[in-house]
Amino acid sequence: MLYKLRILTLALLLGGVIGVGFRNVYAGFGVSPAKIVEDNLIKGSILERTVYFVQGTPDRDLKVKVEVDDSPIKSWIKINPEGEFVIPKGVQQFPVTVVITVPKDAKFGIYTGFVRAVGEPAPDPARKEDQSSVSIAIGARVEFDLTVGEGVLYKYAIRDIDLKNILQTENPIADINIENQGNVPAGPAEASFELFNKYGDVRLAYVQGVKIEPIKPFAVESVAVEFPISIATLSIGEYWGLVKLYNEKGGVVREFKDVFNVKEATFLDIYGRYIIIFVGVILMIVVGLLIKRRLFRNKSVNLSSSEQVV
Amino acid sequence: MQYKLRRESFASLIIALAGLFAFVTIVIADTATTSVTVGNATPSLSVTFNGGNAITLTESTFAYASATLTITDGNGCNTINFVTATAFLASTSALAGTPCAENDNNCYPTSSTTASGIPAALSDTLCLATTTGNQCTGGGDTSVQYDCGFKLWFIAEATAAGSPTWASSIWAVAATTSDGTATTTASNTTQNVEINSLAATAVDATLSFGTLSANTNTGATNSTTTATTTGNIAIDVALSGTNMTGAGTIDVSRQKYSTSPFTYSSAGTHLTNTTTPTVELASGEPTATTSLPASAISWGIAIDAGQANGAYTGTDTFTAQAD
Repeated sequence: MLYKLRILTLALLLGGVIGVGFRNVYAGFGVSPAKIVEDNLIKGSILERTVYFVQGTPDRDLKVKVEVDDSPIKSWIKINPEGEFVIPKGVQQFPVTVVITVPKDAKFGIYTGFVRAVGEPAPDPARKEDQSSVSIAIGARVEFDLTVGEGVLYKYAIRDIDLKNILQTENPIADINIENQGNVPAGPAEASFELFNKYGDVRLAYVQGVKIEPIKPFAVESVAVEFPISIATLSIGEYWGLVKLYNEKGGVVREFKDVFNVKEATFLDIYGRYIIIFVGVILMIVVGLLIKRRLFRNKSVNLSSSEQVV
Repeated sequence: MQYKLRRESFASLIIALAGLFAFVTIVIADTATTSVTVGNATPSLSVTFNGGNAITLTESTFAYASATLTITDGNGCNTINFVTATAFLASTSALAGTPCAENDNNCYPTSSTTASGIPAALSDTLCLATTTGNQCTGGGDTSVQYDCGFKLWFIAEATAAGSPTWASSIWAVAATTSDGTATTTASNTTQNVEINSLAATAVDATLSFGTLSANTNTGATNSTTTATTTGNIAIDVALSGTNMTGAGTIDVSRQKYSTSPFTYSSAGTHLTNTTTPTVELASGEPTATTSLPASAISWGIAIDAGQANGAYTGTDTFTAQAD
């Protein structure tokens, strides 16, 4: 009887009542793009991509931990920002830059790697101190499918051209969005510009041979190209601009015609630089005179001191 | 006398001729009317979509993308009285005037904008005359810019490289404008705009293992979590967890899961603190925002003999990834 009592006591001590449970959680989290595919990498290539961590309901600051999964290309992948950081409340799309550097001694082949982000679970205000809970954290994974091969791929796409509105004293400017889809620097080599009146039927100016720097491999860049026209000050109003982009052989790869506005330049816009130069020169003269005066005064003092010694 | 008569006759002749010329002049002025008919100029249209950049969606909700339309009409931009545009999933190139029925997966037509500038039907997706770019100033002004906003839902088909179904397609905008007489349609033919894939999930969990004694497990009684797909591609999830801590520690491996109901002692996969293996979810790609694919995951737990009484806390992680 005593033996049975001891067993029962032990069972009660060891096996007490344990509460475990999940609490209610509703949250969403994702990553876009979910997969990045690049088939044209070569040894030494640098691939830079932006991925977005997204939340439909960003109703609190979200602490996120980002890490690169173990894989043969883990050391190739760098993330910015990395480690742990906070996505501020209200931000639905948070950009993160991923840079992949293919080592120069990499072997040809197909590689897969992953970047994983996990958000901190939401605090549950309804949970009591002594209540069991398993919080649910939600994360998302980006997959990289990379092929490292050989051979030059020269390929680019012009995504967009935008003629900027300018001031009377400025030259026409086109923002050209270029995607280099190849593995060597590429892009249109030159641009020309024709300026037309507001009806688009009278040509007012023409500029050609404006050089454009090539874009880095696999990069998307917006290039601002300025066209130095012969007209010093344009009248205020609307103008048509025709931009032509040329490849290295002089062939036209894209034409774009659109309207842009010339706005009134203020006094400072027109004369600001001259005023700054003028003020700068005056300041330099004044400073020079002051230094000269001080040197002269020191010289005089030294001379008078010498005379006293003598 | 004769000389005088001659002079009078000559004077009469001059007067007569002058009168005749005057009459002829009047006749000419009366009949040489100048007439010209100014014909209607057909408006021209150019379209750019999202600056040529790829579009990123937001899970569970919408994100806006915009198109810029530059419309020119030789009769003056104030003759433009109709503008509409449609963003749509295109095969490999943007086809002008592609008609499609509104569908959150693949077709976003705007409301039409009429002469008064007010959309024919109020909508979140519409075209309006710009307030920041090239505005129509009337008079001899021939061009005007319209901005079209597209409210793209999270289920809009992904077309970027690596997307599951539509990787060889693009998204395009076809726009139509009219001056009341002539109509023009155009699209952004020189741009290849993609929508990025979005792997996302929302976990709506009301789970409790209840109260368990030591040296027991949940048996055939499962708790469930539901992983809902809130992006534009089908997903799987990777599950991982931490040890539960409280009066003692419950090892993470005491939790088990399965995509179908299971008995703890004979089935289920032990949870680990690593993210492998991936749990294959049966749910597919969303086709409507009102009925999202969801997968239930069943859970069980075992409590070791000797586990101390008390409350335990831990964290389990659901990581969404492309299927």
